[in-house]
Amino acid sequence: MNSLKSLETTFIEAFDKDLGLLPSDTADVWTASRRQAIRSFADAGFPKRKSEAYKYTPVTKWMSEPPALQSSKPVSALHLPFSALEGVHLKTVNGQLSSPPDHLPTGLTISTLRAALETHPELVRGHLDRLSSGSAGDAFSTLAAAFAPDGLFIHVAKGTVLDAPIYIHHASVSPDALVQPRMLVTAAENSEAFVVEHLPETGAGAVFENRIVDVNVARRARLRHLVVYERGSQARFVNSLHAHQLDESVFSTNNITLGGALVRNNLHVVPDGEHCETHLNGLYIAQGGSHVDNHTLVDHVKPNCFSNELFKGIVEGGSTGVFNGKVMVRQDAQKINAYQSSKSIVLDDTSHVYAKPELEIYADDVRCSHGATTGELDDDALFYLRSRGIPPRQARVILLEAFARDVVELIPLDEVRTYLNTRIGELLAD
Amino acid sequence: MSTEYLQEVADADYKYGFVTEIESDKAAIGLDESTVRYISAKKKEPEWLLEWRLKALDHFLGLLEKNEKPEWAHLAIRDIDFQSISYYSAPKKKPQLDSLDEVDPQLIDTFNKLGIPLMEQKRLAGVAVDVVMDSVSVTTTFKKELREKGIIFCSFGEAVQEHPELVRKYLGSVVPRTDNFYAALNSAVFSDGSFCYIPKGVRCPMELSTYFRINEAGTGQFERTLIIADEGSYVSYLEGCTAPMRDENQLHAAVVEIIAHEEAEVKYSTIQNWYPGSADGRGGVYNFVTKRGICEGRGSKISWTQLETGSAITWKYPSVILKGDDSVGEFYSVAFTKGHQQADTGTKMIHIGKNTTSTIISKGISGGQSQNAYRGLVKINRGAKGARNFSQCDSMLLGDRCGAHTFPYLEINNPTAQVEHEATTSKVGEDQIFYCQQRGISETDAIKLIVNGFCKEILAKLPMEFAVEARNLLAIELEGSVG
Repeated sequence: MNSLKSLETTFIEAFDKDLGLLPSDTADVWTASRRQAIRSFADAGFPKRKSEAYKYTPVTKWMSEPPALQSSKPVSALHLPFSALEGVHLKTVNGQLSSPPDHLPTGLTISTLRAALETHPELVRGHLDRLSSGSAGDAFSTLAAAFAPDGLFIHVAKGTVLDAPIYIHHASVSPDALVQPRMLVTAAENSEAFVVEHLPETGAGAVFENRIVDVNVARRARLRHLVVYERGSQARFVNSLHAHQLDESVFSTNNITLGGALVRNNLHVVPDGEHCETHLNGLYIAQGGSHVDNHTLVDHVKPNCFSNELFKGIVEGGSTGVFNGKVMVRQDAQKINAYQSSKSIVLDDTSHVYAKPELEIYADDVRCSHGATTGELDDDALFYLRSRGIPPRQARVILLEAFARDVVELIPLDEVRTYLNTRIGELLAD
Repeated sequence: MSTEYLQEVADADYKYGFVTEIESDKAAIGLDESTVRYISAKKKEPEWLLEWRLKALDHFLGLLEKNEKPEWAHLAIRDIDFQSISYYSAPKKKPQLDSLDEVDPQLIDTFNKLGIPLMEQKRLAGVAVDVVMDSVSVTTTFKKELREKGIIFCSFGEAVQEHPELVRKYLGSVVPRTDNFYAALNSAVFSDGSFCYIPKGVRCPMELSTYFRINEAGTGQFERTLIIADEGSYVSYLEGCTAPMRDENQLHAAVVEIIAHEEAEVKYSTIQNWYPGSADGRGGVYNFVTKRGICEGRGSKISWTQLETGSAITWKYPSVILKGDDSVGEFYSVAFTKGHQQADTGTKMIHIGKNTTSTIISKGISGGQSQNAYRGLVKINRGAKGARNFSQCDSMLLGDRCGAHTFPYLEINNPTAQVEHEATTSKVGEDQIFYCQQRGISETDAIKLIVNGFCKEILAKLPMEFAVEARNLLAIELEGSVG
């Protein structure tokens, strides 16, 4: 408890020192927002020991070794499996846009957030206000909002339909340091886009990335989102995604976690319009003592919406998997269909799975359900494969791959699917 | 339309709201060491029990001082002033009763009004009843017949006097006095309750039943039930409760402990019908209950069945610790809330032994402006090889101003465990109502039929006598909230 308190103080003091480098002009919206964010952080503090939201992932676990705030070291060449695929490719270093692409399809804007403050002030202002006020998101979000020097801005203009995905390759060059990136993706009316984010292994050791992704999906827009996390076995990652949807929009996010020592996905979607469709999917493979926590909230505030969630996990080698998903249906948000499913496989008795699938319903004309299962591999299925001459090890891998494939199959990109299936096969065969 | 009918169901009156004028002994208002000493002296308790109580009091006051009330439940609880309650109230005329004929006729009348005709039941030889009014056990029927079998069924106070070795051995062994805020309070000030011991290999020939009633104003009821089923025995235990209508909130904090030894089986059924408060949310009983059983021996079984229709606030999680290998835990629940009632109820199944099995089936029905939450934990410990759990939690909403919530916790630490949980939330289907109406069934009856069908699985688990009462109760409850 005390150590958390002192950690909070460290951050606040570091911010004050850091702020000395920023222009003190209060008319600067960006700086003012960052100042506001650190105040919100100071007010709320890190989630306490008894916090329900962090019940199975105590913050002290994240912060047992406080990360350095700055550090930089060159890293080895990155392996970027998606770089040859058709689409727009962006690279970020520590969350900052490193090389803006020279050619962009019409209707697509990519810039830094500070630059976008000039070009799309109303969009960026909303994003800044939401985060700095601390009313949405927890201490990790406000902390990132305070420290991120700049961010990434992606805007798909009204009516623009992008044929190919936008790939973002995130590099991290600060071993053992705390990196706090932020990103805003906005899809305007009737637009359509697919954002694929890849966080490969970069050899950056125990890097701690605490990031914010804000998504706005306007009326009748369709936005797909995929995150593939493959950082090294010491890396830590807090991924706070907040999506806001308007009437008749479709939003889907798929979070594939294949690496890291500690991963927390905070996925928070508000379908704030009628006839919205929302999909939240995820797959994680937790090995070698790692800890993966998927925390989701679908907050139905308007009637006539549909949402579906599927999370699957394989846990082994003293690892822990957590799924805490909540479906909330507010008063008068009638005719909601909301489904949620969480399935996990535990492979040995040193590993743990904690599931907390919740429903909080305040409207009567709804259909909501959730299901959660945890178990080991089906003996009958193993026997079936073995009776056909498949050795036990291989039979096990076949079954696990099949289990994982349910989530991978939802990705509408052949090359990405193939890559992931191969990677999953490698991880499980080890 | 159906919604109007449902609205009306939500406004039904409480049938058991009368007050009986019975003279009583009350402890002075407030809680400190002297209160506990007063209760203990009244009950002529041995020194060790007084000490046990005082330790619990110390713990409770410590928690109270740090304001460590449990706040995690989905409940809005008005601040309770624990110093403004009288912690002991007993009907004054309390002679040692040998037969029912000696019971205060006023009391008999009270229980007749409640639909528990003690005399009649005596004749029918159906159920042995222990009646607890305010804090004190008033009468126990069928004692003689039970004694022949070696079964001990008496008030807790009597058990302390007559079987101190059993009480001392088991009291607090399942729910320790420091277990939680309300259990600590109960441990300090519990007044009476039921005690039951089934010896080795005995199958209890009749249902054992306790009826609880809060009568006196400004009092709390803190009873404690202890059930011990020795090797290979079987008992089915029923519990019912009512309270008069009063404007202020009354506090009820009970503890139930069950110990099932090897191959023993205990079936515990509750119909909880404390006063739920008026239609606009005034008064009603605050029901904070800790119920827990331990399957101590191999192959033992504990089964909880509950119908929760009363109380302004229900905070109750009947649990089973599955310690013995091959032991079985079950939880079947129907929780019905209407008006301004709030319920946060569920269970905990803690799997410790090998090849242990648990089943949870919970049905929540909410109407009016009520909030009804299921909260349950399934925990598979590392050594619980081959553990199996199935949970199903369904909620039904009868209006658009109420809430139905599900908060399950699944903690799995063994790879061989199989845990499944499912939950659904929906309203009474318009197509179902239409189907019934088409066949000449009125809308009101159709809704009753559908709600009854929704709960059937659970009601079927209740012992016969209770099942009828439960069905009637549910119908009466619906009467006011659908209509």
